[in-house]
Order: sequence, then C-alpha cells, then structure tokens
Amino acid sequence: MTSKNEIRDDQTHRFVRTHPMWFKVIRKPAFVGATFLVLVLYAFLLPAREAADPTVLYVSISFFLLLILAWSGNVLSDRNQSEAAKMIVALLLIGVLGWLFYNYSGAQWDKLADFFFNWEKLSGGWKVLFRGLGVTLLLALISAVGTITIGLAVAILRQFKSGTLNIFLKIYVDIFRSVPMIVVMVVLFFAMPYAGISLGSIVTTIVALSIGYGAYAAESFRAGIESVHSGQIEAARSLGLSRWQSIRMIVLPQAIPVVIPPLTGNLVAMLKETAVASVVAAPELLKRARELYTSRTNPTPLIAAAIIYLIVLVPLVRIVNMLEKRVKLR
Amino acid sequence: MTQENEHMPTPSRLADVKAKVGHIPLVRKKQFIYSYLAFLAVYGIFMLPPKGSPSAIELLLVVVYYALALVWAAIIFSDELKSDKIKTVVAIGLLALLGWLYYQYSTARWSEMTFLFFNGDVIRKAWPYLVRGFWTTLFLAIAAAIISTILGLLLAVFRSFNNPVLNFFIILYVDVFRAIPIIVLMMVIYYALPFMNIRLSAIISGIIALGLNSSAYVSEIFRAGFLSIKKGQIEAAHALGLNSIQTMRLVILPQAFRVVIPPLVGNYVASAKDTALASSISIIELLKAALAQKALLANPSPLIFVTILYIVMFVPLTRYSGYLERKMQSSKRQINV
Amino acid sequence: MNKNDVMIETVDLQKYFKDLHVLKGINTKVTRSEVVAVMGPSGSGKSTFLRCLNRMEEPTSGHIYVEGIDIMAPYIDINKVRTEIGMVFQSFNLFPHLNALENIKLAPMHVRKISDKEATDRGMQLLNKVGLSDKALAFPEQLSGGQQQRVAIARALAMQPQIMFFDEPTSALDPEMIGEVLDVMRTMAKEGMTMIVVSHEMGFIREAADRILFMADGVIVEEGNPDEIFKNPQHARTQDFLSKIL
Repeated sequence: MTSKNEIRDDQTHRFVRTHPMWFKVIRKPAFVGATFLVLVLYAFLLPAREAADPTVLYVSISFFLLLILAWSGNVLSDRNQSEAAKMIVALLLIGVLGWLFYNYSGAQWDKLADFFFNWEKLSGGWKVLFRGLGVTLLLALISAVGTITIGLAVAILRQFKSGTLNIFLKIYVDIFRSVPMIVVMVVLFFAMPYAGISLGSIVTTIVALSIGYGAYAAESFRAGIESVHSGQIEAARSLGLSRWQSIRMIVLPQAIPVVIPPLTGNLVAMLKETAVASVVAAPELLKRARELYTSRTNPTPLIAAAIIYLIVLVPLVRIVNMLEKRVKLR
Repeated sequence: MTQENEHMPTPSRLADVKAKVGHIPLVRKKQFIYSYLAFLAVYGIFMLPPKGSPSAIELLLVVVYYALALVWAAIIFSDELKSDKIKTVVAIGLLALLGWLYYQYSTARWSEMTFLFFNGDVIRKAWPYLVRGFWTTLFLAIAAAIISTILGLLLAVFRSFNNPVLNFFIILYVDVFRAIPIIVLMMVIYYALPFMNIRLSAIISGIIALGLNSSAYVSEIFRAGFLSIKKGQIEAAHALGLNSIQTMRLVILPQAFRVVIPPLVGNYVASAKDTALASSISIIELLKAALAQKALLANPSPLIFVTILYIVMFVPLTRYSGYLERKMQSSKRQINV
Repeated sequence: MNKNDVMIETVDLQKYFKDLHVLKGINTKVTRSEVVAVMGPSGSGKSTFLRCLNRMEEPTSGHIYVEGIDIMAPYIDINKVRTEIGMVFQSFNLFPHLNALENIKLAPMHVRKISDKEATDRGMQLLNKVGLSDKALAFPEQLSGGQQQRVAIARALAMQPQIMFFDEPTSALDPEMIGEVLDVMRTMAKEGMTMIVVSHEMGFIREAADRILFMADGVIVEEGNPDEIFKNPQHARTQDFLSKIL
C-alpha cells in the first residue's frame, strides 16, 4: 500500500519517505537554469527609471524582486547543492539587490561624497560633536546610577511583602513601562513649569531616564531575586542570620549573576534613549548634530553622528546579546 | 535528686533573651510613638513657615520636618507586629503630607491647576486634531508592523540557509538597525537623504525607520523560532510517515508559532510606543498633535490628556504581552519535567 | 543543665493557612537528649509542626517554649533563639556560591562572631565527624545528595545547638545514600543530642527514637515508645497507617 510519496528501498526493503513530485522538479538543474535565463531576460526588459509610469515601475520591480528571492531561495535551500554554487548564488543575489537600489532609488550618487562625507566642511564641527558625545555619555552615566538605585530600591521594597506597598510599586512599574520615554520627557519639560516645577533640560533628562528605566531595572532585579530558591533564605534564617544578613550574604550573591544580563540590556537601551533628549534641548550628540546641520545646510554632521552612535552602540548591543545567551544555556 | 546536683548548671546561652522577654524596646513603646506623633503635630502647627515661597532657612525647616515624619513612618513600617492596615494608613498619610507641603510652598498657581491641566474646554477644542493624531499613530504602528514582519521573515529565512556571504550582510543589517536609535534613523532618512535626491514624505520616512528597526528584532525572533524546533521532531514525524509538507503544517509550524508569538507581540507593542518618536520629524501623530494644540491654545491640558491616553492604551497591552511571555515560560517548564 | 530539662514545650499550638486548619492544637514536651520521631501521612501537618517550633512558620495561636522562653513574645530576638536550634532540610539548601567549609563557617563567624581560625578548626572537625574532611573545598554541585546532606548537618552543628530538627532529611536521596546520612544521625542520637525527626525511615525510627508522635489531620493521634507504637498501635488511624507502610 504505497502512496505516491513512498517508494520501496530495494536494498533494505524498508519504505523511504520522499518529497512530493513538484519539489523534486524545481531542484533539477534544468529548471534552475531555465528560470535563471528568464530572470536575466526580465532584468533587461525592466524599464529605465525616468522613462516609465511610476506605478508600472514599482509593480514590475516588486515582482522582479519576488522572483529573485524565490529563485535564490530555491537554490540556497537545496541541501544537495554544492557549497560553491550556493556561494555564487549568494553573491549574485547581493549584487542584483545592490544594482536595483543603485539604479532605481533615484539617488544622485555623484552627490554622495559632496554631501554625506564632506569632511572638510565638517572641520570645526568634530569638536562640537564630540562634546555632544561627552554630554550623552555623562547623561547616561548619571541616569544609570539613578536607574540602578530606583530599580534596586523597588526590588528590596517588594521583599517587605506589604500588600499596599506592592500595589503602589506595581502601579509605578506598569505606568513607566507603558508610556513612551519621549512623552515623559516632554511632559516634564513643557507641562511641569505650569505647576511650578521648572527643571532644566539636563535635569529633566536625567530624572525622566532614571524613573522610566528604573521601572525596567526593577523588573530585572525582581527576576534575579526570584531566581534564588526560597530554601536558601530558610536555611540562612534557621542558622540565626538576620533578615538583612540573609539578603546580603546569601540572596544577593546568587541573584546578581542572574540580574546582570537583563540589567545591562536596560542600561544600553537607556543610552540609546539619550538621543531623544534632543527634543527637550539637552546639548547631547543628536542635538549638536542637528544644530550643525541647520547652520551649515549639509547633512554630513547627521551622518557623522549616526556613525558615532553605531560605533558606541553596536559593540554594547552585542555584549548584551552574549550575556543573555550565556544565561539561557545554564 | 543528688544526681542532679553533681552537674554544675551551665548557664543557657539564651539567658539574655529570656531576661528580655516581655521587655519592649523604647522605640516600640506606645508612649514613644504617640508622643513622637504629638511632637510632629506641634511642629506642623506652630513651627512651619506660612504659606508662600519659603526662604532658604524656612525651606530647611520644611525639609527637616518631612525627614522627621519619614523617620516616624519608618519606625512604624519596620515593626512586624503592626498590622498592614495601620501601615497603609501611615503610607497614605505620608503622601498626603507631601502633597500638602507641596501645596503650601510651591510657586504653582493652584487656583488655576484644574484650568491648566484638566481643562475640558481646551480638550474639546483640541479633540478633532487629537483624533486625527490617534489615527496617524495607529497607521504608523500597523504599517511598521507589516513591513517589519515581512522583512524580518525574509531575513530569518535567508539566515537559515547558513550561507557565509548572506550571513555577513544579514548580521550587519541586524546589528546596525538594533543599535541605531530610532530617532537618529528617522532624522537621517527625512533630513539627510533629500540631499541625495531621495525625497520621502515625513510619514514614509517614519514608517521606514520604524519598520527597519523593528525588522531587525523580528528576524531574530523568527530565527529563534526556527532554531527551537528540535531535530528529533522532524525525525519523529518522518518515522510516523508524514511527508515534508505535512510535517511542516502539523508539527513544525504549530510549535514555532508558540515560541514566536509572545516576543513578537512584545515587539509590536514596543514599536507602537516608538511611533511617538515620529513627532520629531513633524509627523502629526498623537504626541505632535498634543504639542501643537498646547502651543496653539497656550494650555498644557492636551498634553496631559494624551499622556493619560498612552497609559490607558499601553498598560493593558504591555500586561498582555508580559502574560504571553510568562505562559510560554511555564509551558516550556512543563515539557522539561 | 540536667537530664530532665524540658527543651521544647508546646501548648495548644494552632496554625491556619488562610482557611485551612493545618494544626489543630498540639500539646507536647521534648526533654533533653530525647529523640522524638514524628510520623504520619502526608498532609498531617508534621512538617508544619516542626517549622513552627523555630518560627520558620508563624503559628496562628498557642504557646511555644524553647528552653523555657516563650518564643511568641513580642519583639523577641528570634535570631538568637534559632542559634540554639539546628535545622536540616529535605532539599539540603546548601549555599551554592560557597564551598563546603565556607558553608559551615558562615553562621558561626557572622552570628556567634568567632574568629576565622576557630571557625575553620571547628568546621574541619565537623567535616571529619560526618566523614567528609576530604571534601572541604568542594562546592555543593560537586557533591552527591548524601554528601550534601551530611555537609548540611555539619553546617547546623557548627552553631553548637542544643536541639536538632530534621525535616524529612532522607526523602530526597537516592536509596544507596540514605544509609550514610542515617549513620550520622544515629551517632548524634547516641551522643545525647536532643532531636526531633520528621521521617518515613521506619528502621531508623524503630532503632533510635525514644518516643514517636503519630500525627494525622493536624492532631497527635497517638504517642509512645517504638515498641508500643509498632507492636501495639491503639488507634485505628495508626493501625491503618502502619499497615500501609510496613
């Protein structure tokens, strides 16, 4: 009783499950080659950018994109295909994507160097940008102290198991994990003066970041403390250690390794969010970049700032990732 | 009897504990607590400066007063024998005291508080613009979610081919778009690209920036989903006679779904919150609408209203996404048992 | 310090967990050097009873006297009282971030405030006594269950308590490791330690216990010495339980 999906293996007489027919067909070299030629033809037939009606252009390019992805996906997912062939296909794919973008995005590529990497025009600006970076890092550092303090305080207060206290803490954490940080900063900076609280842009940023990310930090600390088995505290108390001694010598040393990955994630996210402080006029990196962009009508400062952010943040984000993976493996 | 006297009694180490039984420390004595409270009352009535902006010395008096009140509250809170009810009352009292002190000594124009922050008239005038802002926010969130899902899925699929060339570019993409702050990305797209003749409208710039950022996370989520399917599942399915399509449909996808949905929902919620950043490139979404109306009507009520709106919208969403993540954790634990 | 000192006395000890009445009035005394075994079906409240005696669980009402001190008195220094009672748990509860010797030294140094040298000497002596002096620097994850439990016993003994509590000490152990732990407990009983043991190990109880408390549904159904209980159980409940176990 063999279905069309099964054949009898002649040597072992066992049933060997195979793929459906059409699956085998698309993998045949003939098919792959034929479809490749079709795609090449299609590429030549693509209208030039200026010539055609925009809708026709978008549709035909989208369709072309889809076909390319499907074709390369077909080759790359074939387990029986050689690695060399796959390498070539991959390079081809990247090449075609690049070519599409180069030709059809409407970019005037000659202006690239002039406007984006005009380092001479930027000359005095580097100092300004780096001072902005300094402010960014300082803001992040001070806010980090605030964040950790608030997060730790909330986590410790939770240990007192008071019903009312826990409700207040939950409300705090819920609110600040839900409201976007930019809204918090804007309200503190633009609305609070009407209530008599007028904080400068720097203080506003620090307060907003500390309170906002303190809520996330509190959750990270909570996860860490909850990861310590309750039997640990019982054993410590049964030996005569006080509540504070048990927390200090038994719970915290075990909780801290669990807290570090998510807490570092919180702090890196907070560092990213300092860019938002430009909205409330804090003199950090993005704000400086915008000022330079306006005063010199040249986007290079913005690009430079973006690159600086990447240089600082990409390694940090990777480190956070590594830390989180290591905990998952335990 | 005589045998007992042959052993000299060693004094119990708990002698001092025994001696202290029934002895109540001074700080816990009712008289102490009540007299402290009376002292605070006297201080409050006679020694606090009058209403109005305080001088430096007067400010010190107020701060010392609240510090003393905090100490009293700490004594109550640290007492394990006091009921939770009493502690709640003390906590509320502390907050009320803080509010009252603030009312007495801040420079706020209190008579105008409601007029300023909860002005129904102003909100009514601003309403149509706020509504339009809300729909824009919704549109941004949904458009970004759709784009990021499609992009993220594509990236995850091509990542699963394990091709070194593709991997290099995909990892580069994910690193860059996870690291760059969204507001920076929005500004680069909207303000810098026009210089290269790529002119995108504000809304499109916003959607692209949100979509690119979100897609980096989505691709990692799908990738984790793919990797979570254990090899044994596919082997078991084959051993039962399922072909590869049935295996995908009945075994792999349902499991991958369960792994992918909670973090995906969390990502969409976070992305929806990030739509507020679009206000910085002049997209009239909810926050920008509120700011514009505030400037126009010279009254911060729209801003307060919108903040409350964000809370009302996102607290349930954030809770729900947290609930989903916890459900996934617990179901994982059950499987391992 | 004489043979007939009452170490622990409970008067009408009651415990409610929300609406669940777990302990319905326990009245008992434990004298010096007595080895008391607490037996009973699960849910009888035997673990809860033991944990109330050093206030690891807060009793709802009733009196508990440890060495004559009412430990339910307000503002009593319960930490000091707990230094006189050593407790051994079913799941060992060793501190994983410290090695065996450090586990043992921790409380004596920070609660009794003895010097590092003295703590180390005492610690090594105790490790010797439980047969694990070669594992002094091993971490809990490197030790077998039986070894961990023996370190836990040494850790409790390091505080030189007058009384030792055992809460199902062998229930989480593989069969081949139960013997080594029971051996240590037998030695302690012979040396005259006052012990309260909640356990299912009938062999050990029959041998080492001076008195057995049989608990069911939150009350002490029957008590007596091993001979009386095992050979001649009076209550139907006791007979029922024993018929299932033996």
